[in-house]
Amino acid sequence: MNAIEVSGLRKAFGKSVALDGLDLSVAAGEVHGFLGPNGAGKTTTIRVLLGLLRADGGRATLLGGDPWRQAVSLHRRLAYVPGDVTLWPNLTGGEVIDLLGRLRGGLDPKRRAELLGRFDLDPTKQARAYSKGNRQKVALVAALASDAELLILDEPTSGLDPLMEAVFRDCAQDERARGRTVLLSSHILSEVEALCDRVTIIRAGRTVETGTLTELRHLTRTSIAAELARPVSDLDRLAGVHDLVLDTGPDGRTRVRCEVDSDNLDALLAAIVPAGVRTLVSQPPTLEELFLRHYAAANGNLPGNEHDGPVPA
Amino acid sequence: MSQVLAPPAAAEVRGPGSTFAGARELARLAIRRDRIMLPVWIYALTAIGASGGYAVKQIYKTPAARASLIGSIRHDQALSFLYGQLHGSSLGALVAWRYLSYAALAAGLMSIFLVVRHTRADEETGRFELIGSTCVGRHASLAVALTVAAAANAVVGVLTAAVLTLTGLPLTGALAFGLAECGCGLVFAAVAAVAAQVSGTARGARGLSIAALGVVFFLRAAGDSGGSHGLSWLTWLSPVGWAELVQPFAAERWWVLAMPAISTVVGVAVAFALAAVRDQGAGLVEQLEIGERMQQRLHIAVLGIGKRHGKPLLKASGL
Repeated sequence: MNAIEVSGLRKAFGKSVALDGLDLSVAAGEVHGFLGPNGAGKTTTIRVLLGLLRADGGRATLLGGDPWRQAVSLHRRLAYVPGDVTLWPNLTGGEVIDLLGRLRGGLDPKRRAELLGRFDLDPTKQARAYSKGNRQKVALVAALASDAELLILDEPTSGLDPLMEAVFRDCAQDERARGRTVLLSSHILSEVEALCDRVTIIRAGRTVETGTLTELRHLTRTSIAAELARPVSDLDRLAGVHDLVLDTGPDGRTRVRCEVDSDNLDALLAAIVPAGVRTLVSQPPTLEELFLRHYAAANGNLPGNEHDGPVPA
Repeated sequence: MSQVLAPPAAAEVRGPGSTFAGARELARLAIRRDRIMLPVWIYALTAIGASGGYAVKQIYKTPAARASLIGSIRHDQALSFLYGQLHGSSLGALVAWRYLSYAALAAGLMSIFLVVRHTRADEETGRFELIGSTCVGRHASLAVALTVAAAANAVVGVLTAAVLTLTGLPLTGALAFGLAECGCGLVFAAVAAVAAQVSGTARGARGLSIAALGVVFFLRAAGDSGGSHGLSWLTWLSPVGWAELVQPFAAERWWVLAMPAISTVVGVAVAFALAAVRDQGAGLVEQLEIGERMQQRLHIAVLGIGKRHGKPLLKASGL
C-alpha cells in the first residue's frame, strides 16, 4: 500500500488556483522528492495531506486514511517539519521539542539527545534568541526523534548552513535505512538527487513528471564551460552532448560551452583533455534553469524531445 | 530502535471526542506562555474593584456626604453617560455605579486579547502549523483559548468579590459585582472567538472585537443617559449594560446574569461551527471571497474611520 496517494487534487484560494489536478504517489519505505519552483503548490499539497486545508476536488489518501476526517489518528503516525518554523518566543527549544513529542504521543529521549548533539542545538535557549536555522533545527529534532512512520519535510534545509545541510542529509539517510517513509519537498535539485529514490516534479499546481532518478536522468545534465589551448573537433558527435557552442579565436584558443548528460561526462572530458584544458567550470543545473528549459518552452505539455529546443533568454 | 518500526495503530475513525484531542497539552502550553501576562491582567482587573471600593469608602464615609453626591448624580446626564445609572444609595451602590461599567469593559478587553492570542495569532504567525500536524483536534485550540479566558474571568470575578468584601462591603453585593463583571468578559471571549474565525489576521480579529466592545459601551451610555427620551432600553442590548442592570448592592437581580450566559453559549457555538468548516490559516472573509469593496466598507463602517485612514488600516489588518 502506498503511504501517500493523491490524484487529481484541486484547491483554489479565491481566484488563484493553487492545485490544478495534482497527482502524487509515495510508496511505503521510500524517500520521495517533491520538487517544484516556489509557488508551485508543494506546501498547499502538504497542508491538504495534513488535514489543515480541505481540498476542493480530487482524492488524497494518507497512510490508508482520509487526511481531513481522520486527521488526529493519522497524525499519531507522522511527523512534519514546516518550511518556515515559527516558535513561541518565551519557550525554550527543548520545551518545544518535548511539547511536540507529547502531542505526537512519543519521543525517544536517547535519540533526542543524540540529534541535539548532531545539529549542535542548545535546547535551553528561549526561542526568541534562535536564528531561522536554529528554529528549523528545533522542528527537525522533534520530527526525527519521534517514532512516526512517515516524515513530511517541507524544504527542511532552508535556513541551514552547508555544514548542517550535510548533517541533515546524513540523518535522512539514516531514516531511509530505518525504513521510514519520507516526503521531502524542495526546490533544490541536488538535495533531492542526493537523497531520493523517486521524484515528483510539479509546476503551477500540476504534476509534470514523476519517476526514479535514473528515469529522470535527462533532467540532471551538467553544464560545462571550458577554455582549451587548441581547437577540438567532433564534440558534437559524442553521445549525450547538447547545446554545444564552440568559439575558436585566431590564436587557436577555443571556448567550449555545452550541456552533457551525467552518464556521458567522462567521454566528454576524455575528448577535451588532449586539446589542453586551461579552465574548466562544471555546474549542475538549477531547478529554475531546468524549468525554463523543459517546461516553460513546452508550455505545460509533458516534455518529450525538446532537449534541443530553443533556450529561452 | 525497535519502537521506530512498531506496526501502525489501526486507523480509527474520528470520534466526537477527538476534535478536542490534545487540549490538555495545549492548555499547559497556554499557561506556560502566559505565565507573566495572565497574572498581570488579573492583578490589574482586580485592582479596579479594590481601589474603587477603597476610594469611595474613604471619600464618602458619612451618609450625609453620600446624599449630596447622589442628589447631583441623579440629575446629571453626562455622569449617566460616563458611568451609568445609580441604583440604591449605599456605599456599595456608589462603587458599582462608578466602577462596574469600566471593570466590565476591562474584562471584555482581557478576553479579546487572550482569545485572539491563542487562536488567530498562532495561525497567522504559522506557529499553529507545527501543532496542527500533531494529534490535535480541530477544535482543541479554540476550546483551550476559551477555557483560559473563562478561567481568567472567573478568577477576576472571585478576587474582586473577595477584595470588595474585605473593604467592608456586603458579601452578596460583592458577589453580584464580580459575577456581573465576569459575565461581560465571557461574552467578549465568545465575540473574539467568532472574530478569530472570520478575520484572517490577529489584528483584524482584535479590531472587530474591540469595535464591538466600543459599540456596546456606547449603547449602554446612550441608554443610561437617554432615559428621558425613552432610550433606556438600549442598555438592555449591551453586555456592558447587563453588568449594571444586575444592580449589585441594590436590587441584585441575579436573573439578568442569564443574558451574558445565553449570549456566551450562542457565540461559542457559532465560533465552533465556523471553525469546523474553514481552512486553517484562512479567515472566512478570505475563504468566502467577500468582495474587496465590501470588505473595505465593512471595515470602515465597523471601525468608524474615514476613508483616508481606512485604506492603510485595511492593509495593515490584512483584510
